[in-house]
Amino acid sequence: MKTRCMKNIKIANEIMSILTHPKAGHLKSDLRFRREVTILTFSVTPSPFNDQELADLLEILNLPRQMEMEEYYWSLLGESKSDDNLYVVARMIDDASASVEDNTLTLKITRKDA
Amino acid sequence: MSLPKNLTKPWSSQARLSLLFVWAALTLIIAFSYQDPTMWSSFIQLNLSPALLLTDYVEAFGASAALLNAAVVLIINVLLLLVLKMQLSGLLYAAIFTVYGFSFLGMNTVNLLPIYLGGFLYAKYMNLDFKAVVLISIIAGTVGPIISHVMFGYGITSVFTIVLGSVVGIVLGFLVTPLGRHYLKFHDGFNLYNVGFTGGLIAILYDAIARRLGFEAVRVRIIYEQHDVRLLILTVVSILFFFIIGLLFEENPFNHLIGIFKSSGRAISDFVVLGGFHATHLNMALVGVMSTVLVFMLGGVLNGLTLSGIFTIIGFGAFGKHPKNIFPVILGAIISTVLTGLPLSSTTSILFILFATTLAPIAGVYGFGWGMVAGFLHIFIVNHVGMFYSGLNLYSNGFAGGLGAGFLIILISLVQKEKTS
Repeated sequence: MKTRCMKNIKIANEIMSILTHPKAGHLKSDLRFRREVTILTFSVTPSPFNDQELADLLEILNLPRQMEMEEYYWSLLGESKSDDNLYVVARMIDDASASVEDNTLTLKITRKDA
Repeated sequence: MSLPKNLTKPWSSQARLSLLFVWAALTLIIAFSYQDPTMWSSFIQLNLSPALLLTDYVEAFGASAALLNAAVVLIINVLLLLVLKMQLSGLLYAAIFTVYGFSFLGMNTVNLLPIYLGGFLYAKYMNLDFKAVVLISIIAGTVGPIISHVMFGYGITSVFTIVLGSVVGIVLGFLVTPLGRHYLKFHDGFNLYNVGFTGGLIAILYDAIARRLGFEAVRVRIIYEQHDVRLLILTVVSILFFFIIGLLFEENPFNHLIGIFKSSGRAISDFVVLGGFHATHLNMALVGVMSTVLVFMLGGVLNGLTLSGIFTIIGFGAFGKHPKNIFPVILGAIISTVLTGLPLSSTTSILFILFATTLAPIAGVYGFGWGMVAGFLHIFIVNHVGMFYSGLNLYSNGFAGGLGAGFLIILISLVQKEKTS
């Protein structure tokens, strides 16, 4: 249970560091721990990404989940500002979706328990 | 940051993984081409040897036995991955090629299997599928000499030492994943051979205890120093094989190579994801050509040591290394070797230069200059660290790389902060 929480917190940490930008006025995170799934929702105003950047972000985050990467590399998350860590996040989550409304970006990440 | 469009489609991983059997067959054909009547007996001796660094299996047991060992290790590992129905990934190729390369330099079935069993038990203990840790268990053969040395290295080989060595191997296999995960943070993923860094720390601890108890391991230096045309054929045909896989089945693999070249190489840089299956094989072939040409340019020969270097680089050509990020590190390592008066053509110098590419992510993230600094520093460190663990850690360069990267990334961040302010 503790490892599960730590992994989710590190993912949240990484996503928040990506969404935080100099002009960010408001960043909100919401972590919901369900029975076999964790849903992480983030909203930031104004959105830090244009349409193409957001599409690229979602393409990376929706790469197939891969347990053999997750178990060894998850400790890298949360302590670096490098974009490379997005690939670590991608290998640990099942789905990512996003919407932009009134210049607020909402990013929803779903991670099932292994 | 555009990715190949076929990425989200399901992979026929099993068929593609099976291609590695072609390569195992090539290795076996070359092994049998020696028509060495002592091949099988030498192969058994190889498996029952202490396997300390530097034991070049080509010199110690003959090329045919060394090749047979590499083929057997490769076949066992590919079968294991097929049974587990592993998904293709850059890490998978890095693991397979590393274990193949080091099957010429210290790894064998006897010292690998206890580590795998330890990894399996760790997975069970943590309620994980073995798939989640098997690739790290494969790479963890770096501590193979500890196991072989307990079994066969103290001149008192018996059932007891064999059982004891197996237990030590299982314990190390159990520990290597959690330890490695923890030590990654030391260098923040900038040292590609992190398991070597982990293995070095384990070996230092083991050696300290064993010495205190009166069981001292003595470093060895057994190196094949002649040209062998069959080893050249193995290397060239292997590289051609990767080129063919890279070129034949996709329209524009070179376009996808650009995605790979843009990658920093820092963990996780999975080129199978970034460039696709075929472009990854092209990149593996390119770094293979670079490293093979380098060996001959520096006046070296193909032996167990240089083969381990070349094939490990080929493997990490799927997981972090590409020509753009390894070149500055190699250049820095060559300059360092020359300036410190070390002989460039010696096998150990060439090995250290090849394996300096463990620091390729530093060039990838911080640029050409810092990549050269990393390679330059690596030569000093790697020439010194072996004495810490008496040859009991096979990936000496991984240990040295971890120390160098852990130091450099802090230094670089301080310098860059200075520049910013």
